[in-house]
Amino acid sequence: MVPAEVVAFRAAVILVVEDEVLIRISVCDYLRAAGFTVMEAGNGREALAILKVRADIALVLTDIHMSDGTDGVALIREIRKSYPAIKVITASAYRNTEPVEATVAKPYRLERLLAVIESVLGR
Amino acid sequence: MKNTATRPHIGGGRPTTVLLLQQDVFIRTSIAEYLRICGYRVFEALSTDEAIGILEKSPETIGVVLSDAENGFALSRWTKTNRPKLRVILAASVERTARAAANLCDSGPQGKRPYDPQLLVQRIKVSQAGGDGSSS
Repeated sequence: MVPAEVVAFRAAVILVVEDEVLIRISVCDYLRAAGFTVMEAGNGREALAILKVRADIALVLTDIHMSDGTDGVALIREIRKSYPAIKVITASAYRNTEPVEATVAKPYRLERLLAVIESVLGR
Repeated sequence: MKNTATRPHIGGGRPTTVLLLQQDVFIRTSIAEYLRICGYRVFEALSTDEAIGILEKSPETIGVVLSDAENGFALSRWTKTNRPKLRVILAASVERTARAAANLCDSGPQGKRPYDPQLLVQRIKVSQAGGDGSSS
C-alpha cells in the first residue's frame, strides 16, 4: 500500500504524449500503478486539444519527434506560451533544445522516469 | 477524479483489460477515464494499426475491445483471423459508446457504472465544443 501522503502527492495529473503506442501504454500503465492520474495523447495535436479542455494537468511528458504535424518542439513552445504553469519533461532519443524542467534520454528505465517526475513535481 | 494508489480487482486476480480504439481524442479520454473509474485497466489506441500493435505485442491479456465503427470494422476483420475469441464491441456514436462503456462497467470489476452515461455524453460534447482535437 502506498502511504497516504504519497497518495496525496500523486494526485497530480500527468499528460503523456508519445506516438509509439507500446511505449505510451507501458509508461502510462506504470505511472497509473504508481498512483498518478494519467492522460494520453498520441501526438502534439491531441495533446493541445486535451490541454484546452483540462485545467488540472500539472505536467506534460512528451516525446520530441512525432508524426501528425505538431511535434514535441511545437508542443513545448505552445505550452510555454499558453500554459506557463505546466511543467514539461521530454523523453526522447533526440537532443532537446527547448527549455524544459527535465529531460530523460531514451531508452530509459521506468523507475528512472518516475524519479525524475517526482523530482520535477517537487517531492 | 479520485486517485487510488492501488488498482482494484476481483478476488485478488488481475483486472480485466479493455482495449479502447477511438479516433476522437475527447471521446477516447472520457470513455477511458470512465472505464478506469469502474476498475478496468484500459489501453488506448488512436487507430487500427495501434490496436493491432497492442494485440500483437503486448504481453497483457485483452478481455474486450470497444471501438468506433470506422476503425472497428477493419479491426474486426483482423481479429476474426488472428483473435477469433476476442469480443469486439462497435459503437458508431458518442451515445452508443457511452452506453457500451456503462454496460461494461455493470459487468466489470466493480459491478456497477460510476455514473449515468448521459452525463458522460454531456462531458464529451462539452469537450468537443471547447477543443478542436478530432482526428478526422
